[in-house]
Amino acid sequence: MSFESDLLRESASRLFTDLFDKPTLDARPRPDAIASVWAKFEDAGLPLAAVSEDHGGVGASLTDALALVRLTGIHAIPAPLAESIMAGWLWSSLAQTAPPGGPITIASSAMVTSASLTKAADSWRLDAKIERVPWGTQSHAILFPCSAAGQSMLVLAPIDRAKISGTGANMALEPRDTIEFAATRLPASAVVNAGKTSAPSNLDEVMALTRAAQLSGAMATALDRTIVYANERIQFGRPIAKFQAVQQQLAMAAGEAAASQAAVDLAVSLAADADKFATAAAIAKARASEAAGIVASVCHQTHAAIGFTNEHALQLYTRRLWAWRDESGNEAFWHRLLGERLLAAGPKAAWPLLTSLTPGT
Amino acid sequence: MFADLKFPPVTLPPEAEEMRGRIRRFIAEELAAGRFVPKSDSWTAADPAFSRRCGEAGFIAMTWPKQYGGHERTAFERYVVVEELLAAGAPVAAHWIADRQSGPQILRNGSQRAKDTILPGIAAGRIFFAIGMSEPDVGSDLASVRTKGTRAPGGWKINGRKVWSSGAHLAQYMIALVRTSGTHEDRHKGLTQIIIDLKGPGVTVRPIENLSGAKDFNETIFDDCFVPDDMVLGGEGRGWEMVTAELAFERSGPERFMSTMPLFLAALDGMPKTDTSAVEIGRAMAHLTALRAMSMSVAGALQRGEAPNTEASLVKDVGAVFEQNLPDVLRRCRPVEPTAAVPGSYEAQLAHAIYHAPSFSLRGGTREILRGIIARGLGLR
Repeated sequence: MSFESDLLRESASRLFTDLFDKPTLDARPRPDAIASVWAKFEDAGLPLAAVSEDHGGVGASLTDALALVRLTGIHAIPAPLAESIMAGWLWSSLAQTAPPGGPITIASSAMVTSASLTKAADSWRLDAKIERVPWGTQSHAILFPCSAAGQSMLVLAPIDRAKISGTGANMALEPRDTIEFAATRLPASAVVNAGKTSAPSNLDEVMALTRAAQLSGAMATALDRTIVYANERIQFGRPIAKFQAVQQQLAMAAGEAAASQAAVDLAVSLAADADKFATAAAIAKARASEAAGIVASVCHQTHAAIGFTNEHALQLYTRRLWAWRDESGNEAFWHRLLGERLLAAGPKAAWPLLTSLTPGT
Repeated sequence: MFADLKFPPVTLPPEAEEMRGRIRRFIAEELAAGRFVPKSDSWTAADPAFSRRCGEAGFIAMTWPKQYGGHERTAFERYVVVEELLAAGAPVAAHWIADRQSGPQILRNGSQRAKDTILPGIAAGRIFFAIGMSEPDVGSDLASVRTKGTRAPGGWKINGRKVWSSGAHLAQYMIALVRTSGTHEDRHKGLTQIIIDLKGPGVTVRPIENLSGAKDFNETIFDDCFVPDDMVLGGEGRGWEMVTAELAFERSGPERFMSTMPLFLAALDGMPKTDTSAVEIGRAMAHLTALRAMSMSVAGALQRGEAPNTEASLVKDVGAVFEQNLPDVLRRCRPVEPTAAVPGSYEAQLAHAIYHAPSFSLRGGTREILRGIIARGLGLR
């Protein structure tokens, strides 16, 4: 980590602590009022953190961007900051232009239930329906994959040109909305060919890794809050942390969270190779999604009834764990894809495939 | 706190990948010549001739100084060699303990004579070591060892018995943890690590069959066995501190999650391509890759001279669950009736892995002890 990246992470961490780690949950900014916190994010350079300096951003590396994304999980941030950071990184590196201001959300291919993108003179015509869009109603633009004339494209479209045809939420009450574009005209610059680049351009895997990093952050906070609680809560005349039954469960949960974190960090460090990155990102999401439920369960068991209340902060993290583990592909989805890949490689090539997932190879 | 734990990814240096090519060629030649049959848990399968060939090819004592027969390579080159040998199911047990912990311990804390007379033999794959920690009445509660060292002219007289000493029947030496002062109530004080010549007088090694009928571990009995002063490691009374320092090396290596990898790779040959098998194999792939990243990260921290004890315990705890569950996963994906009847068959490999699996969460610290250590690292104790 360089001095600059430490500085960026530390200032983000201080800002998030100040804004979101409140003594009571009522004092936290509400998800439907993100404008005020967004201005503070922009002042700190966070939404454009991973946009190159040429395009008006901070120029942080993918490693630094994912560290910030992890912080959005650590502090359970009620805003599409993770999406914006990653959209900014993707757009800046693929389109080589500055992304628009304001929150940008991302939809992975499974959310795009219908889409048609056609070129007309020097503009594009877009018809699309996109479901369960993260923070769709709160975002100014959306980045999503779409094919045009057999080519794999990424589209960055302003949401004020779309119709919000449905609103919903995930288990953590984060907005998940349906938006529709009907014969919307987009300038040529709103579409890039995702295939014409060596950078990781597979948006599905980038989103999977984004959620995995958030899961890893939320697991860390859920565990550390639980460790603090176990040391404070006295039963039978001593803190429940002193009971081996409690220690053993938390140690096991820490192993799950540690494996998730290591898998996320591995994927980030393989970003220079698109194939390895795609596999490692799938592994990270699979590992973190599986761990999320186990960690949530142990944290609730340790907190007992108080952690099951709406006013206790534990639910900020566990509800996100339950929501995010099923977004961008749950563990079964990615396990199957990974397994098919390894089975197709066959017994001779399987081990070399596994060892190829090593930074420096 | 959990936030204090770190698993920063490491980048393998180019020489590590060159080493991967070398060890793969070595393994391919061994297999082509029919010199070993791959099996799971191969780091408990001893073949002294195989170990000698490893020594001659430079795959033992890789990181040690050349002065003692070592090759002055990085921890990552050694890591690559070790994981390739384990994946191949090669019989590395004879030299495993000496290479992994006894030799490095002697290098750090041994007398000049111990270094000169023992280390080159380890590096050559000719001198093997056993671990002398557990005793008939001492398992997880290691600090209560009863084997006693009493002062004798020029050294120590050792009396007592060690148990579960893998490979003691083949090894020339054991590093034993013995009480040299006080009583077992003094706990961590008064313990000393000493090198015992297993071929010398006063030592009896009795094999103990494991449940599969294999003779790998032993009971080792010391009856007025004399050990000269220069075979004491690091000075009298420093035993506990040295044992503790060894643990991060002992607990974080690829053998802590790869014991059933040979079975996994063998199972892929003829694996039905069903939804169930794809999901289960993909899950194993995700778990393995995460563990490998954790383990390599700890190897990097150790190379930098850090002491990642909680992280190392996490590798072993998560790793044991993985390698222990893998035979069950494979049973469901590729249904056969496991049997040892036809050596080398998939059925025999599966039976072997199932027989050995209970030991994975016992050796090197039980699951319960490890989770206690992790809990302490998290601030729960």
